[in-house]
Amino acid sequence: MRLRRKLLIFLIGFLGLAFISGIGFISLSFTLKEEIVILHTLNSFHKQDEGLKDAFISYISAVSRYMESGSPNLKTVIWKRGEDVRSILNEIERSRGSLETVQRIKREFRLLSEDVSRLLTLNPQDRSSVDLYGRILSIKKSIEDDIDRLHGESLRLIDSAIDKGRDIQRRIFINIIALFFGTLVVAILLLLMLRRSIDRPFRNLLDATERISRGELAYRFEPGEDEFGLLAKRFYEIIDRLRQKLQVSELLIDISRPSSAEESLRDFLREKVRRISQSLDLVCEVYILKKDGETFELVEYSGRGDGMPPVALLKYSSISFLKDSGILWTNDLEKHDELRDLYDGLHRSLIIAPLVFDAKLKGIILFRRRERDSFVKDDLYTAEVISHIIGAGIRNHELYSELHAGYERFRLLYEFGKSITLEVNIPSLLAKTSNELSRILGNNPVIIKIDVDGRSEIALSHPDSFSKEDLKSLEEGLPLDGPLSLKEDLFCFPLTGKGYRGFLAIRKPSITPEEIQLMEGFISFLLIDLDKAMAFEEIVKREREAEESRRRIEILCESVRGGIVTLDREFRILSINRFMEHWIPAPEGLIGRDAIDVFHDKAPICPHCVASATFETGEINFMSQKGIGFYSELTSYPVKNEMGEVREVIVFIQDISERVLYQEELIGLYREVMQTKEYLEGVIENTADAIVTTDLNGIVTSWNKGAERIYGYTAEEVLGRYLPFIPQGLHDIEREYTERIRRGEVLKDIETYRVRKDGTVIEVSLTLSPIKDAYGNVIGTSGISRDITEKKRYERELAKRNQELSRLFLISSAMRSTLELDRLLRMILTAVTMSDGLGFNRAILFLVDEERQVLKGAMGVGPSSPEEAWRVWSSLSMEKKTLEDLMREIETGPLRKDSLLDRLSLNIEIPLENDTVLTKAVKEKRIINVKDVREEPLSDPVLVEQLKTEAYAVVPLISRDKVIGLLWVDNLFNRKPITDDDIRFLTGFSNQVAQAIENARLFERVRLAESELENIFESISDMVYITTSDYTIKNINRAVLERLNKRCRDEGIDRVWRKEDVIGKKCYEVFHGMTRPYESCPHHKTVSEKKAFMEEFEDPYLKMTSFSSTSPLFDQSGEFLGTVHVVRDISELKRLRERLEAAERFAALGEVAAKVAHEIRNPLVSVGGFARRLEARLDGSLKEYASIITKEVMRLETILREILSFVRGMALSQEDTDINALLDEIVNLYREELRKRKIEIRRQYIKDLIIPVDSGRVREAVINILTNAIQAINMDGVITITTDKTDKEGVIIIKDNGPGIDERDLPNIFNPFYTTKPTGTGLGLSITKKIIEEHGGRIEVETKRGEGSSFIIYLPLKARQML
Amino acid sequence: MKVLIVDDDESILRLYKEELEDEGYEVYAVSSGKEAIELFEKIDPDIVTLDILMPDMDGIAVLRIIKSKKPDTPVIMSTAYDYRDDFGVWAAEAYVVKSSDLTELKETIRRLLNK
Repeated sequence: MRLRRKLLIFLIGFLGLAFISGIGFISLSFTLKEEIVILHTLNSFHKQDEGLKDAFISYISAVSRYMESGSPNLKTVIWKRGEDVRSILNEIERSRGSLETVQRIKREFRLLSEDVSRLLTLNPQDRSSVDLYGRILSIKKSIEDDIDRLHGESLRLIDSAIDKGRDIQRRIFINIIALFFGTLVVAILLLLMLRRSIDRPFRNLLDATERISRGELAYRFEPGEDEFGLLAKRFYEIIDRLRQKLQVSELLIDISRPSSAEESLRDFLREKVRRISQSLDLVCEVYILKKDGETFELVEYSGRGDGMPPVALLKYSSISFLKDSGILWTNDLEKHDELRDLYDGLHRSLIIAPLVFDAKLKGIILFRRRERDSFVKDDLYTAEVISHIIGAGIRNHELYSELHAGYERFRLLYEFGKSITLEVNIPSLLAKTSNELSRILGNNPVIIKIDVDGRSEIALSHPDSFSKEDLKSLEEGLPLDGPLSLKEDLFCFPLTGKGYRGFLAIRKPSITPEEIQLMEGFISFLLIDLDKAMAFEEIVKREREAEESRRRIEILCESVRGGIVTLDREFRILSINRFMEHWIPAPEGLIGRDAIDVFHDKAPICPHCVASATFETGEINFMSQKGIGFYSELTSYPVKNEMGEVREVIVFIQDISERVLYQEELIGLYREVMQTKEYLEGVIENTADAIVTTDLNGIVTSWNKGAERIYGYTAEEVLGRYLPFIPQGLHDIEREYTERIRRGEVLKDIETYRVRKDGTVIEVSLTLSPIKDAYGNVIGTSGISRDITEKKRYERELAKRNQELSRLFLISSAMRSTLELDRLLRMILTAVTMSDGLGFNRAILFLVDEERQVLKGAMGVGPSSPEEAWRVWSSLSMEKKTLEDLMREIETGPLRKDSLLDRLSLNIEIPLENDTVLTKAVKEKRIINVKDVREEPLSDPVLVEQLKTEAYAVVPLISRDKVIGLLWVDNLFNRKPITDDDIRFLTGFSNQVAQAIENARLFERVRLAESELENIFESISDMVYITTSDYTIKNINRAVLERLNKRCRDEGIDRVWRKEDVIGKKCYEVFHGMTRPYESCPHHKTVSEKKAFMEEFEDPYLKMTSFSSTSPLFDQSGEFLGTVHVVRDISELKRLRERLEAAERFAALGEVAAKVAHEIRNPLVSVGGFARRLEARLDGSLKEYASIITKEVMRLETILREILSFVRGMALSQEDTDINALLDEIVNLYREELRKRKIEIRRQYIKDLIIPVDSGRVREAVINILTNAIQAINMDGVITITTDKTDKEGVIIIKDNGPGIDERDLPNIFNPFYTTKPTGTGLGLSITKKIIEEHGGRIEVETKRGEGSSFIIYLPLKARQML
Repeated sequence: MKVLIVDDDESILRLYKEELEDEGYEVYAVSSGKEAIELFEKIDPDIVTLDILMPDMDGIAVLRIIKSKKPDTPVIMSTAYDYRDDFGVWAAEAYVVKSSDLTELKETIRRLLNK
């Protein structure tokens, strides 16, 4: 039954049910409505009854009131009330029909109202009225009864209405019950029907879809005849269709699966075509367009074995239509004439699909089926997809082969790049390149020519393969960029780079683009390497220059005639020159030592004492030090870093014994003066004074011998005469004295003048006392005088000397405080010319120009006219001036630079070969005082003419026995003769001048050296960089940039570092590529420990082994500022050094070995031997002691043997040895030991391992490993000994299951003297390594903590060639 | 059996002498090469042990002279330092590195005399 019909039945049932229940409800509603109407009527009846009653009562009451009052007004009221009653009665009648009761009431009321009307006409007080009223009342009574009856009738009607309502209620109930059951029955029926006709087929359908979706594609249930059945059938059809599609898709996926690269194209096609044919049940053929572009060739075919394809080759023209129309198909080939070629007589249906890629037709694929019309549209689509996939597959194969060729080119390039990358020698680099290129490109001749630094380098792969004409044409036609074919068989490539230019050419009949690419690749490698080689040459050159500079500085330091010591902040000696021999023996051995230890209180000088102040203040400091036989002046110069801190101090030490001696001479002079003074005083004290007595008039009364000696007069000459020695002009004062004497005063120590007999005036010290008579009256004078002329003179002299001395000290201090030569010289000359200096009028300094052999005016100081002279001298005075004032004055005052004299003197040049006073002074090293130029034949004409000098003196400036210049002075303006005294001071002064000049010159040279050092900093090949405490880079040298840029190039990073990029960055970012400090970096340690570190460092970022030296920088308060690093790439060096060190160590050890053996072993033998004898003869504790001696000696002997064995370089005597037998023999030796320790030996030998070895030595090597293994295991374990061999090497593996080797020890285990055992010599494994290496083998170790170690020995199967 | 011991170290000489006498040999001990050659001619020992490093005449020289006189007398080179690389040493019958343990020396003497 159809679903629609089922639903119709259901609908009819449902409608019937609704109809029945509707009817029921309608009837009920009608009944109810009737009931309500009745009730409503009853209600109105009741109201009418009530109204009637009320109206009637009010009517009656109005009548009653009339009766009582007789008021005519009431008549109207009564009439109105009567109308009311009548109207109600009419109403009742209208609504209830003419009921009997109503009629009666009406009637009675009519009677009543007639009576009332009558009454109203009467007077109420009338009798008649009363009677009437009585009748009225009786009627009224009857009416009231009737009204009550009417009311009762109404009430009865209500009862009947209620009865009727009950009946309705019952009927409704029955109706609802019937409706409910009816609906229920219908609903159940409908449900049953629904279940049967909809739910079950639906469930079946769901079940089927679920199972199918789970993969049971073949699941089917019997479909019914209804719509569900139809649905299921269509669903099955869809699934079947999808299954077919799926199959096709699987096929497509399958054939589109990439084939392996190695598979050939034909294999690929065979596999795919077979698969297509099988799975689509058709014949499949693939044709590929041949290279000629004309013919398709059948390359693969697959079918069910029914017939071969009709053609193996197809003309392109025959199917040219494909190109435009894409895929072509026919379901009946017989109908297509144009495809007759393709008809094989069997298969009528055909699809042809083009294999197209890169928009080019590369082949076709054919699908055939026998039956006519067997292809549908879907097949066409499938064919198209297959053709795309096959096309792509073919393309992939082509791409792979292209890639492979490309890879091969790259491999060649890589190999080439690798082979030349270490080559820095240009000729061999070129030779290598040309040969390699020639080899790769079919052994065709290659030529490379480049011009470097004006020289030409030519490399030819085949000699004489290029004629001169070829070369000429190559050079003339040298292309600027890109290759150029010059002749038919000559191809030329330009080579251009920094500092060179050239070409590479190949003679080859033809050249493919790939070959050009390859060559360009080679050339780019070559260019890189050429650049590198050029750079290398440059570096070598620069290093050589740096080395030369360094040597120059060394020579300078060595040749300076003064000691130079450099100290660091810890007062360690950084450098010391040979001149220091002057003060301390063997100075060259002192580098690195503490200057305090070396010098302080131990040598005649102490650089530390002078340097410490410079370290503190950063200023030049100087100090004189006195040692035995030496006076030395030490001057310390700070070497500051760019932060202005003193990093080092250079101490110049000069022997100033000469100068000091001069100063001592001055002091001696002073002493001399003092002594003279004392002497004189003594003389005066001890000599009888002049004692002269006079009377009050000054007449001499007595004259003693002293007076005679002092004044020259004899007693006879003066007695009785007036005092003869009073000078004119002093008489008044004398009289004053006399007056005071007269008053009894005593005048003591008056200094005054006296005139001697010869007229000379002398100074005397005078004491005058009165002479009194017996009564106390003053009668005369007693004068005691003494000659103090000499004393006064010396006192003045002394004062002058003192002044000179202080001036000289002032000047020399000033001189030493400056190192600027120009300033210094000016200061010298100023001192010479100052009136209270040396007081000369003019001074010129000449310096000896040794190269040109002339005396050259360097500077002149002095006024140009007498007027100026007076002005200058009055304004310039050294007195009461500080050094600074003096300096300022010199620089800004009238004697400044560029005065007339200065300019004049600069022009003066006197050849030393001339014979003049000046040259003579130089040559003879002596002072010459020309008192009058007219009388001196050798007077310098230049000076006389240009300077108008009349008398002058010259003093040679001698430093270290060499005249470095002359000091020329004259007194043109005041004409003062130059005295010997002047000369003497000038001489003393000149010594200091010479020294100061020498110092200043030295300093100049040091400054030059410093700037040279700065150049070296830049040019040294080591990386030098300075960082602050927070790792910020402050300065770097060029090597740093070079290294960083090298890394960028190596890593292929497109970046060029410049100095400004690096400075300011964090060093760990730049040098390690990290975001925080690198723990293992030596620099980091320096920062964290504030100590200098020098260590080798494997740099994983810059990929090198570096020797890194980092030192902390501190400021004056000891605050850590940063670090200085010097990093040297020692990757190459390290390898060489390791080998060299090992060799040196062995050689050195070998030398001492024999001696050690003799000196130690012999006594050991005696000690041990006799101890053994003692042991045999003694008992008790003594025997024990002897036994201890024996054992200890044996231990010593073992150690000695190991050491000697290590250093002994013994020639190997190699013989073919059965290694397995040798190993067995060794194990046998340790049988007991192994048994005791419960160690099991497992052997895994390869057969016939015969190796030429020195069996004794190899035995020693293996024993060392074996004993180590035994000691590692100690108790209970397994040692596995394995032998094996490769093509070239025999292998011995000794594996233990001990605790393994600590990672920290691992790098050291083969190092001599490295041991982890308390009593080992640490030589065992190094001996082993040495032995194995002597055999040309190697040893390796693998270890894992807790699992044991394996030592693997490789020994070459062929004996090592002995050198 | 006569054993001639040559060693410049007097204590070693004495040790060897006593030890070998304990073994029952007739031991002659001298401390220089010259004396060794004189005594060799006089007593014609059955075996000689020679130190190599000695003042005035070294062990190799003594060995050469002894071998030129009586090539059949076995000679043991006994020395503090392993000189086996030195060419001349190989003319001797045995080579013993000095040790406070004289077992090796005694064994070698026994072996050579039993031949």
